[in-house]
Amino acid sequence: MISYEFRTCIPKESDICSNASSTEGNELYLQATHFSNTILLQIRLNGEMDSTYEVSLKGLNPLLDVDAVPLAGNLENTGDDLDDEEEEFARDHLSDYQVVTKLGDSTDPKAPVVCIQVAELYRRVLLPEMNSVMIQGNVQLSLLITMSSKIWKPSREKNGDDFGKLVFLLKCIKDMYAK
Amino acid sequence: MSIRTVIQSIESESGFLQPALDIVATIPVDAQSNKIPISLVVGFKQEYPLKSASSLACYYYAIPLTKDRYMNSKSGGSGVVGIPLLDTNNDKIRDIARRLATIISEKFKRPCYITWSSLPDEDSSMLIANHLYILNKCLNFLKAELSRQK
Repeated sequence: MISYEFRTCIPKESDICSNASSTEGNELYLQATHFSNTILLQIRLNGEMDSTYEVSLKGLNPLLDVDAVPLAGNLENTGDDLDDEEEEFARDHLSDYQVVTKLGDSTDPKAPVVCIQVAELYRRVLLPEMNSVMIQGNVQLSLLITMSSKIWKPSREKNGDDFGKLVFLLKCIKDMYAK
Repeated sequence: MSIRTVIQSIESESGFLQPALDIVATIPVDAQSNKIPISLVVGFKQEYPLKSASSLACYYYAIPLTKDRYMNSKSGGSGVVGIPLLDTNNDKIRDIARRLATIISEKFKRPCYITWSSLPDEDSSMLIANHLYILNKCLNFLKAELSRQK
């Protein structure tokens, strides 16, 4: 097993703060342990974490790389060809992965979106980058994510910028593997 | 900084009789805050750590009951509830993960996530022979690490 960790403070101005009582910035702590069969990712907000999801690829997905899930915050490949073929390949991105709630709120509609975005980040960006470490090229991706549900709780004053939080989280996960 | 991660190998004193353990532990820095879970990845030590050959065999969660709930509950035993988050069909592995999670959660009064990582050619009888040894080593390790930093 190989372990990675990343620690950061959630910037105050972006209003990602979910815990109104704390005055200083919230601490986001990421830790990933890589196994041969899965990746265990822990996302802690102020040290806490309270829900666990299992994310795995579903089916054979021949179209997975043709019309991939758009990654949040990655603006490169949006809107370049919105042509007539669009409806022909209309795909339900949420059905590429199976997200199983092991612990926590299984009716939270945000959780599968977050989990699939993290899984796509691993499958498309992170795992190819460190293929030298991962022995098998054809990785059957499976991911265990344990995180704090408070990250996605709307803060009291505003509805909260969930997309901003997601982009920030994905960036942090990417930074964790930066040499 | 509310948590820190310790990566360590625990060698046995008697050398060849007991296997060495690999531990990745994420523990709270402040021993008072009992909301912060302990997370522990344990497995027998692998010879070539960079090859990442070990697999995640079982992932187990345990959390202590609150004082009044514990008093009200008729069930005897420890005031801890737990569940496998990623189950295994190997009873020996599930048992060591369950007992580690239960004991750690009870002793340190906080939630606990345990991962048992298996080597590719792991012999399950090693788990039975070293059951108490593993529990003891992990507890001592956590006790030392938690008291080391304030």
